[in-house]
Amino acid sequence: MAETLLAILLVTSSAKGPNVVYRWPPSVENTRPRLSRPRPPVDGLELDNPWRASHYSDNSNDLAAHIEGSVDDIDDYAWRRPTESRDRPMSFSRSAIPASGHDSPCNNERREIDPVANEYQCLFDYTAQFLAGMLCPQRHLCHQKFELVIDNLVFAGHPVCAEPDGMWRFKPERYKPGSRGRGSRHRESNLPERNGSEVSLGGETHSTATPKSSWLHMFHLVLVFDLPDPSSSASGNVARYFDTIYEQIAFTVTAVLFQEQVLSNFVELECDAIGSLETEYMVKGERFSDFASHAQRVSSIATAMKILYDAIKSSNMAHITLNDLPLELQLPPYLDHLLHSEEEFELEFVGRLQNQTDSQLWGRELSFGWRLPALVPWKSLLLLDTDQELDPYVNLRGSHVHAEERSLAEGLIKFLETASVTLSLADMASLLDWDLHSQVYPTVRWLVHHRRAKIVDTVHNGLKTIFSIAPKFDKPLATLAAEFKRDFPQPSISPLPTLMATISNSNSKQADNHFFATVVQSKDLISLYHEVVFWMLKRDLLITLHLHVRVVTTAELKVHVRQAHERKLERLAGHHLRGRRRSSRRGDHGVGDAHEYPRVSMPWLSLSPKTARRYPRRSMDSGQSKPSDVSGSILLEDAEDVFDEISEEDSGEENVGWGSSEDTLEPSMISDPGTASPLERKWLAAMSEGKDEYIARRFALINQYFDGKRTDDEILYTAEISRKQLREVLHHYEEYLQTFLHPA
Amino acid sequence: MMPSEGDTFLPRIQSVFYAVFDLQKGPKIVYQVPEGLITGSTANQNSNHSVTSSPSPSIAAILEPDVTPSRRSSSSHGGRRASSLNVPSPHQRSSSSSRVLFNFDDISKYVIPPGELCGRLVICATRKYRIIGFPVLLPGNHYQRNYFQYNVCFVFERSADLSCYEPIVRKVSRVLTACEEESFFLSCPKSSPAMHAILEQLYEDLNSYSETSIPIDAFNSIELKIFPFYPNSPPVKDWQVPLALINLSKRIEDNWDLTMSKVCRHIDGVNHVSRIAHLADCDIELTRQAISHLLYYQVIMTVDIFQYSNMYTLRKNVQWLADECHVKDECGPYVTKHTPGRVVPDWPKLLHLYSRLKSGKTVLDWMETYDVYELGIDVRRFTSFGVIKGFLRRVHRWPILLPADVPSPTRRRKQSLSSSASNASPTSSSAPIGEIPRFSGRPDASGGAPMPGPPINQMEVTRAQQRTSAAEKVLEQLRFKTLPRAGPNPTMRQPPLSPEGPERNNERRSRVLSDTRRHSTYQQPTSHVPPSSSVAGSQSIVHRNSSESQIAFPARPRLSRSPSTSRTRALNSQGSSGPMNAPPPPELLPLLDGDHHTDELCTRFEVGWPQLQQWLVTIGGGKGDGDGDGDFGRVSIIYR
Repeated sequence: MAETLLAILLVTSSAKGPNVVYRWPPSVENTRPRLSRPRPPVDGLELDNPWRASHYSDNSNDLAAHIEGSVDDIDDYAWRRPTESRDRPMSFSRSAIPASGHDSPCNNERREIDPVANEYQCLFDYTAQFLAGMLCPQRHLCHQKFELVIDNLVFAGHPVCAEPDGMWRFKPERYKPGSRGRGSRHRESNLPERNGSEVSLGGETHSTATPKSSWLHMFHLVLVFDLPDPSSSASGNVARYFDTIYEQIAFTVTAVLFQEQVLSNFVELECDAIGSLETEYMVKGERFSDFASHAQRVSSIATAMKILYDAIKSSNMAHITLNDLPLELQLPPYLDHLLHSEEEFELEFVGRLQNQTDSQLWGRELSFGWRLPALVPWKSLLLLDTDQELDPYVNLRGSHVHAEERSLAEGLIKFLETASVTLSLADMASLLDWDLHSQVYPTVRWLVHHRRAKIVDTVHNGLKTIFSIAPKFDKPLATLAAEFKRDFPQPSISPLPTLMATISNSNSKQADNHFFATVVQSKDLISLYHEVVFWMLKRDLLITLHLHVRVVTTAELKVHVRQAHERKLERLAGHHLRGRRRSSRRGDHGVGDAHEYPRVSMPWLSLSPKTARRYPRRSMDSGQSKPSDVSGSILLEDAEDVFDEISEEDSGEENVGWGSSEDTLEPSMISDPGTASPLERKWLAAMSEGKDEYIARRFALINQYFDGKRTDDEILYTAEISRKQLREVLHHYEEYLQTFLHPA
Repeated sequence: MMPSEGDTFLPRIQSVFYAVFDLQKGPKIVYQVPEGLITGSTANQNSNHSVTSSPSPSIAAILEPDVTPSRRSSSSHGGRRASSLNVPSPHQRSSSSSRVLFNFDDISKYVIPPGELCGRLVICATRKYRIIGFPVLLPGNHYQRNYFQYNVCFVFERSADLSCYEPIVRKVSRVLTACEEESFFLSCPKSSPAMHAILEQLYEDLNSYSETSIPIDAFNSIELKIFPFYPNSPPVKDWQVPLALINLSKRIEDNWDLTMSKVCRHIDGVNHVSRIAHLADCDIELTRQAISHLLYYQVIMTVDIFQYSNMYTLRKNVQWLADECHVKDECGPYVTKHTPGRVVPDWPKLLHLYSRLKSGKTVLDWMETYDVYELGIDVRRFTSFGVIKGFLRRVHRWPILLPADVPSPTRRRKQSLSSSASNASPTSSSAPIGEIPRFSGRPDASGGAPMPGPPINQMEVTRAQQRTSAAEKVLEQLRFKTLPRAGPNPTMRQPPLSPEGPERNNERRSRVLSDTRRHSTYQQPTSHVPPSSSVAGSQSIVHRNSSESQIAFPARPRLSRSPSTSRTRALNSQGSSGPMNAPPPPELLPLLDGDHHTDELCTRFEVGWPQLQQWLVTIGGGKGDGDGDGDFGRVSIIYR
């Protein structure tokens, strides 16, 4: 939705001068000009107190008069604060006599006494004639984005004009010599391509222009907006907001109109029809609103403008038809959020922008202002209710489907019937025998783009999924509860608030916190509760919590690895004394403060370079001994055998990084086990000591996914293991793994 | 007040030009700085370029040679101005380059427009640039065409955000219009060449210093400063806790707004807005405005009220933030109490603790389960660190009163009770055990760490807490507060015990524990609260301490109009008369619609969570015990 949209105008230019051919809605509320910074509330408190003190008089009227005098003349010229401006009546499409005709003279000289004629000529406090002149730019500024701001009104569009000889033809394509051809015109109208700022419309270089020159020199579909208060959003957002509307609406519609004008003189004919109707109505002295609604019947452009306006205001898709060319247009659902300062909750979506691959999978159109979750194989498709007339089934089963498309249509029907929240996209692809990337994803993208489906986390078939409640609801809870009661009158289902309370309380438990254990509790009710979950997911009331795993290297483990390494060094040193000394010095080298403690005073073995480093620090604080050190010396006895094996496998012993800043005995996280450093790999290997071989092998296989970012679903899908196998690993490696439960 | 802002994010002026309606040639550019960037058939450059090479006093010198220099030098920028204008500006040298921004003819109808647009701010655009101007039309019989029309326009990159330049453009036009009206400054051929120097100074100073002061004549000067545009902050709520991001106290100056300086002194990351209003003795609305002002300049942020009954949960951001150095390296030192001999817990340990904060689990429960006391962690700092960094989120309680006709779902309650028996038992039975080290392990624990008796099971705890009368609780709270907290670092101390024998202590302690467990330590002494302010302050909202709040309740007689309320109250009161049994205010009922969380309700009714909890139990007709927050009967509490 674009809450700021005021009107859509069609402006033309001809030898007779510029003209506003049609506009919707018929009467537009005047928006007052205002300053872009809110004026402080004038309640007397804000006045300059020193001034008041120095001008103090017993007559309080003086002060009041001063306040009024200083405020009145500029009062009309101030921004309303966003909260106040919301109170303004937003009924732009009212058909009553517009107030503008009476209380705001649009142009004193040219103003007609007749209020009806005034309706035709007055627009936003200006005459339509004047405004049309401003909206028909110089030829140089045609065929590019147009933007004009007059006080608080924003005019945006993409003016197009005929060639200097009065012919309408496609401009030669500058960037792509290979013409896109006419066959792609439907697609082209849906997916406008912009090459930088230079935009070329149409694909054909050869002259398909209408042979005779037309009176129409230029036409310009203009969207008029109330300039949003710039202080309610972050810098630059307003520009992005208008850019998006321009790209999705103004440019696209203009592209189609231009093409039709070139091919069949469509716009000119429509303008003729509207123009003669307007003259007719003006002569008869009928109201402008009557003309505006009658024009809907004679012109598909007029109809399209109305549908477009209504759809944008109501945040729906616009299905318009221009010269029998169907067109679907919409704005991203979260576009208006750009205009308001972000609430805390919305920060959840910030991270998403960082993920390049996600937006690539969704495509350019869906990447901005849609707030879509990642399109990944382990998520599911949730089909939304659609209007009956737009039901894909109806279209697909319709008789107009060609025979050769029949199989395709049947495939799609099967796809829609297969889609389920309990079935991941990957499973769906294998079930349908479709290719995930070339068949499933495009279908999903189409459904999501047309707001017939959304991507959700896969729900466990037995409802053993862990949910939490969304922090924000779109509607008041009471409304939701009433709807829920209407849809689920069964006595076995508790009211929505109770249900939510139960779900939200379940998160505190360590086990049995999934939906089945906390809510359903009986196998007989699973199918019923499937509907409940489906209902809640549709309304974004549930958030699926996912398991994330991280690997922790404990102090014990590190000491263990360290000791084994030192044992090995020592044994080597037994053969080559000089070699030992060198490597011990190497170790010291990386540690700055080890020099402060002369090595001679400590037995070499008990105080490795690292423990030496720890020593001064510990002496600074309590002097308590760390348990890790104690256990380290115990571990020393039995660890060497295993570790010799491991470290001998490692040919690059020199590169392990002993003594580097990474080599501490503090417990730490391995942030990305998939790209672990040699030392981290040693720690990972040490974790598997004493474990069964099959478990150790599985751990080695899947520990790359334990980076805290992959969800359990993703791990299961990517590693191709079962949930039980994952649980087994988590159990056996409990001491080295941390689990997290949070939204993906 | 404002943080030192770099000017880099302000859009750079590409060009500034002065255009008029020429009698012969129509719209034309008279002067532009830098020169030659805007072309056009009518844009003939005025030959009077010699002005540019003359030093800045030329403006005044041309106009009124007798202007006293003292006036000009009184301007704080005088010296810098002069020097900046004396330096040959780089754009003059570069003007020979062939860079052309756009053709003036393309936009001339927006620069010198028909009369309808005059007096309005007009922004037009070419392919790569945006032009902002304020066309002015001055009628007058002395003009040849009975009017004079001019415009001073600024040119920016197309993508520039011009909101901060709107006031600048308006003001320049306003001052020049005044000059024209007074002395024909613009239309008179003698003085108009000064416009070039003005344009030059606008271009140089606004781009370099974001401010300028250009004296024009004895009465007029252009004084400009560009303020960056910050987004408006969302409305301030009474229950939000402002947290300073800079050292506010160092910034307070004598000439500050009085409310602001009073409010600033109480911003400590603990006090919430309505409490600050009370502490600073300021009107609540003015306090909100002051906080909002600080938020606007992004020198504070808001967090939630810290209470031991709070719940938190991880946000998805944790997956990235847990690897960030500014999170994992700062966390330990920030959240640990600086006690000598204490080792700062490592990040894996801290992260583990964060991961165990869950909705449905109060901070107190969590502390007991994971021995948080032992680690020397300041829990308030621990949670606020997560909130500030953005990986932790407060989970609010949203109570909703179910309609009376809905039968209380017995199946569910039974289930929840049975599950609580199995589920809560680990925590509840371990709770007293978990408490033991908390007291005994402390070096300053009195009586050499007396061990309590055998672990008290859930039933006994429940009974014990039911026996404790509300009055007794109040006494206990008072005692905790009145006892001075010694030591330079008031850490999480054990609740001061009564001067009785250790046996008595144990008994009392177990009761205190059960109380605090259930009521989320209304009376838990905390380390972070300054000794002067009450512990309960974080909960009891306006009243300085709970004793005041307890007194306040009877002073406000409330007639319970709902018959069900009185009935349930009779059932629940069990004869104990105490402030905690104050009847719920009737205004509370309509707010229990699931759209108001308990922080909001607590601030609104100026009570702490234990009192509100009591009210909710009364309203819902529940038993008040059970797992989590207990059984509220017809009131459901959603955590979200």
